[in-house]
This record gives sequence, structure tokens and C-alpha cells, in this order.
Amino acid sequence: MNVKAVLAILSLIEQASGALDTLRKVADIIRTRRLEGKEVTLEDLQTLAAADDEARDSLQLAIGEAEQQIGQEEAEQ
Amino acid sequence: MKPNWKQSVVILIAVLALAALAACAQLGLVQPETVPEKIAYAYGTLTQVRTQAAMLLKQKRISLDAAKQIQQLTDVARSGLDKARDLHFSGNGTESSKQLELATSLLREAQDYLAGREKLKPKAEAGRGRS
Repeated sequence: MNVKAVLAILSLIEQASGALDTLRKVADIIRTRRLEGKEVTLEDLQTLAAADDEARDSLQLAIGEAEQQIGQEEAEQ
Repeated sequence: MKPNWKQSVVILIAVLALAALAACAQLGLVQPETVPEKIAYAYGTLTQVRTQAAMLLKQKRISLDAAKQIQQLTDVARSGLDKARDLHFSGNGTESSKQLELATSLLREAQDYLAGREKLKPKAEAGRGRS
């Protein structure tokens, strides 16, 4: 197995771990509410929605940067 | 007595379900049971899909068009989730469940789309156009 393949696998593991972190946070909220004998609240869901807002902004920023990079490359050609 | 094929399938499904539950417990996850818990997981999945798409775009492992498509799909799913949340907390459980189902299927579509367009290795031209 070459180094590139190992790096690709490590990157996939890192992604899976990052994805699990997000879902673990959700699991923590659910577990806490269950221990309190309560249902997930509107505020809990608003907090999770706010985290998605941040993720949306990050993706939009990455899209903007990629567009800018492509524009620069096309201008140079 | 030897089980017939139908019984074997039932046993296999039961074993797989138990294995999935055990895997969730080991990873620190819990099985969502109620509508708000399912909405909570859907918000988490939404965040995860967008975060992953941003990272893959930066690594040039998905195209710009693919990233835009993910953003659009997840925006529609988010809108459905917000509606499901508001309907649930205003006492309209039936409509909330319908909205949640719609949003979840869109989310699944976004996940499949992302998985289908991801490249293992970054490519110089991956930032452009449809992959």
C-alpha cells in the first residue's frame, strides 16, 4: 500500500470522526433530556439550527473562494 | 428443527438490527424515538453534510457545481426541518411528521449526491464544473 492510499484512508477516517462528533453532540442533548425525564426542547433545536447556520456560512464561503480561484485562473489564461 | 428461508431472513434481520444498535451504543449515539429527537438528529446530519462538503471542496475532491448542488439540497431540507419543528411545537404532530419525512428524504439525497461525487484523491481540475 503506498503513502497516498494511506493518506486517503486517514482522511476518510478523519471525516467520519468529524461527522460523528456532530452527531455525538446531538446524542448528548437527547441523553440529557431523557435523564431529566423531558422531551428535546424548542431551544435545543434552535441551538442545533444555529450550528447548521454556521456550517452553511462555511460552505458558502468555500464556494465563493472556489469561484474566485476559477475566475483568477481563467483571467490568467 | 431446521428453519425455512423466511425464518432465516427474519433471524438475519433481527441479528443485523441488534448489531446496529450495539454499534450506535459503542459510538456514543442513541436511537431517536420521538419526533423532536428525530428532528434533532436531522439538524445534526444537515450540519455534518455541509461541513463535509465545504472540506471536500477545499480539498478539490468535489466540483464547485457539486458543492452548489449540496448547498441547494440542504437549504430545502433545512426549510422542511424548520417547518417540522414549528409545526410540532404548535401542536400539529401529523403535519410535522410529514415535513420531517420530506426533509429526511432530501437529506438522504444530499448525502448520496455527496458520496457519489467525492474523489479519493484531490485533482487540480476538480474545482471546476460538474464531476
